Amino acid sequence: MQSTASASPLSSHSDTVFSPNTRGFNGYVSPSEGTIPSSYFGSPQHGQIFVQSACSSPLLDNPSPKPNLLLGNLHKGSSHDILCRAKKFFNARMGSRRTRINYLVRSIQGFVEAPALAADFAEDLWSSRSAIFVKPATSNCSTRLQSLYEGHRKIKGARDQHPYAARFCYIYLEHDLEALSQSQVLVLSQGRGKMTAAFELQAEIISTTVDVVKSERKAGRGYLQLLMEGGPGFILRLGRNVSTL
Amino acid sequence: MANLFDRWERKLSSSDISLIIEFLRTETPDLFDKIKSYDESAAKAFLDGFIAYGWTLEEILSSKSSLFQRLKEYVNLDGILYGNTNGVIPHSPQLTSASISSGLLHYPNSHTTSAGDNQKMSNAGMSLTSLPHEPVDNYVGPPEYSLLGPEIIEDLWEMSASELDSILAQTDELTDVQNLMDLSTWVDCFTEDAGGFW
Repeated sequence: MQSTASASPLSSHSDTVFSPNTRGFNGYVSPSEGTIPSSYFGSPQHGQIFVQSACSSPLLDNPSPKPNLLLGNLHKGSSHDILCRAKKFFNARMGSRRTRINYLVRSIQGFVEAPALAADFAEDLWSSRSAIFVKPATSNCSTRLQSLYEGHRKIKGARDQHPYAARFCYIYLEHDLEALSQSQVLVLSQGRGKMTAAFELQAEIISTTVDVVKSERKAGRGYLQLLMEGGPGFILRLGRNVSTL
Repeated sequence: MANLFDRWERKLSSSDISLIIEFLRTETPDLFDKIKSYDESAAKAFLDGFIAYGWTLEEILSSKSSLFQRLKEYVNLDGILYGNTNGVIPHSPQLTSASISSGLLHYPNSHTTSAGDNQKMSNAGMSLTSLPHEPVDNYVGPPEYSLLGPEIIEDLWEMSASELDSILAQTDELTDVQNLMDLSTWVDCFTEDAGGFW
């Protein structure tokens, strides 16, 4: 479930500062700050209707919101307003696809709640302290991919501790694997389907299976699209990972 | 209900993602601007990561990858490369305390200087990460580079004209090498690798 609301004032866009040096990799000064109350979305069992019920709140129709136990300050009212607008926006575009709309509104919620990052946030991303990558002695496509994939595997199981690096790694993988797929030499040398040959080669380089490669690439495509269409900053602003199970 | 990772890696379709961006851009411009204010620091962090696992600045610059093109919108890689090649000082050194401390290619931190650490350093002395929200416009003039310590910078002011000419000649040679690398890097790279696998 989502964490509960905090009474402390907070920018609607979360000015909580994240510094991996001093605040841990989860990066939250307070796990509850700025979070939309769980009851805003309803229980997971009723996930398909939670947005609708939230936007029936008086906050939507009243420019001077009444005191609300769930939305205790103006900032949270602002967040609430954004999510209600998101629900209406997506509803208008997507009709009755409520499960899908819930995914989208929760994604917007992530952007709203994303903790601010300290100026030095990136210094530990790839530094010796986290030691995600071991730079290959000689750099070519294979050694790069191997170094990348080893680093990716290393942090994949600890994604809450490496939320940014984990997303970056998926983008790197998708980028490098796609670049490899584009090689004309690949087609000529294999004499068969370009994608099949590419997947097989990629799997061999990183010592895994074609199915795993396909799965990894699928995971990276969303992030890459977000970066390309929105901008690099979007990847840092997806929000915290909160299990809703 | 999917968590954040599941959503972005498994659940959201391409059209969903476009719609999310459209909503943020059109309906919540303040939030959109706030997200965009992280673009530059994110781009530098991305490029740092590329370098950490083996890419070189030269390869990134010569690549036609649309991702690299996108990242280059936020980071002045050309300036970094041509100001940093082989530790050679830029043509018109105008290093200021402000530019040195701006964070671009900052000096390695003390905790990264041990021999063991250096082996695993992302790109010791080549980090691109910088303060968030630092405008690209700050990169006027020659870029900074971390391989130069303060004492080396000090030596530059004592350099004779002939010494400077010698260094600039080396820079030209390296630029020639860079031009040679502008050929399809990926194809060459693949050809080299394919021999080992097939």
